[in-house]
Amino acid sequence: MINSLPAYTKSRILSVKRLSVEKQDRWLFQNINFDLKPKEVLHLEGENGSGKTTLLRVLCGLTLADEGDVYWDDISINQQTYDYHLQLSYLGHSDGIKQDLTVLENLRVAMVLSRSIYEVSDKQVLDEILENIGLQNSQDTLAFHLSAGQRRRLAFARCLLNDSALWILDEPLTALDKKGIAFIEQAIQAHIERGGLAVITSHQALNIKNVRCTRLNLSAVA
Amino acid sequence: MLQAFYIILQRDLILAVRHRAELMNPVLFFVLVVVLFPLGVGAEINVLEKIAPGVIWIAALLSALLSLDRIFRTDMEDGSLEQMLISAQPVSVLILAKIIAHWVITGLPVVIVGPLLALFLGLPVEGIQTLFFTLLLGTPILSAIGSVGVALTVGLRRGGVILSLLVLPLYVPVLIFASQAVDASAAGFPATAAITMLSALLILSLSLTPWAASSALKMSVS
Repeated sequence: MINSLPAYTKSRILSVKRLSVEKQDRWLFQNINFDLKPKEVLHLEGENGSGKTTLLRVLCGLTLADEGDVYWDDISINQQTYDYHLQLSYLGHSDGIKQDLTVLENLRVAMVLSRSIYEVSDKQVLDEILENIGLQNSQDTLAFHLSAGQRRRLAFARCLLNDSALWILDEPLTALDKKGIAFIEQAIQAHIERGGLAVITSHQALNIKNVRCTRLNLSAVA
Repeated sequence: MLQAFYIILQRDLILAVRHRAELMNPVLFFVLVVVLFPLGVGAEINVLEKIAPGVIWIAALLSALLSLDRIFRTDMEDGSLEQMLISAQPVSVLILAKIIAHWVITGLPVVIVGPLLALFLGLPVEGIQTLFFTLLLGTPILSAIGSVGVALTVGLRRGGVILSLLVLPLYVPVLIFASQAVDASAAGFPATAAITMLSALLILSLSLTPWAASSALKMSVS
């Protein structure tokens, strides 16, 4: 399913200009600039506490920057929140999964929230997604009973639900086993080959072939 | 949009049902407070009859306050709030769904139990009828106004005290109009004026608070 989708129709550019964020009276990072074009990955690096998660949240529009702005196709993301959110999938630090809902219920809520390209009632698509993330046998299990890795996979499934061109992934590989890591790498690769963009933080090396991967080290700019 | 409203409502109700202890808490509190009053002030029927509207409404108000935090707190903790804020659905619609879910969980039981307790306090039948209508119109206002207060304080680690200080003054008009209406009809006068005021407050709060709460939430998560 992931490999069979057509290329993204529009080519988009995510650009960050003179971005600075202050936290508790000190600059977390200052004057960050980059342009991310289709088929590119930005790999954020930096020590713990260097502001990787904060930068990702700024890119999502969840946190406001103290200086500078984020642009999607040259329009500030704060002036087009709705259109931007339609193009965005964010896997945050916390999974955003309700422990007291079943896997399927969680997936359905995510589908509606992201205005999925699939129908919520489409059993075939749901089965396929669950099979992809390796949870086909636990669709009626409460998320509470899942392991940390399984929960991470379920959270990642959000990226597969809608046709978003920009993936922002905060440590997507934590708690995953080898198979899970391979699956996520493969999914990111397919996404990039379709003309997507991705901003990723990860302490593990990402094994993605034939992709232009820019590295940005936040500890260096602090 | 309707689908989003429906799925969030359904999600919150399912979550409440799976947490039965929390579900019972507000209504149990409401019943206990009202039941304790005759023990405290003595069982003289004319005293009880006189204070009944006030007692029932104050108990309803406090039980709503007790359960307010739940509207956004758990969603904030597990990251689902972030996902709602960056979803491709209008946030105010999602919040309206959460307000209504909160009312069904905490307000509706009070609307049902309240008149029974009024009977127990010796309120005349005309008064009980009006009490039922004021509770039906008034409790959703409590959930709606409360959602703004919670949205403002959910980012704070100890927002409990501020929440009460913030929300209680805004609850006062509801308390005044509602107990006035019940008093008037128990004494044989028409209560139309106060009931109309409550209806106006209800419409006003349901149409304005989702927007206010969504702006407040964006501030709280950043």
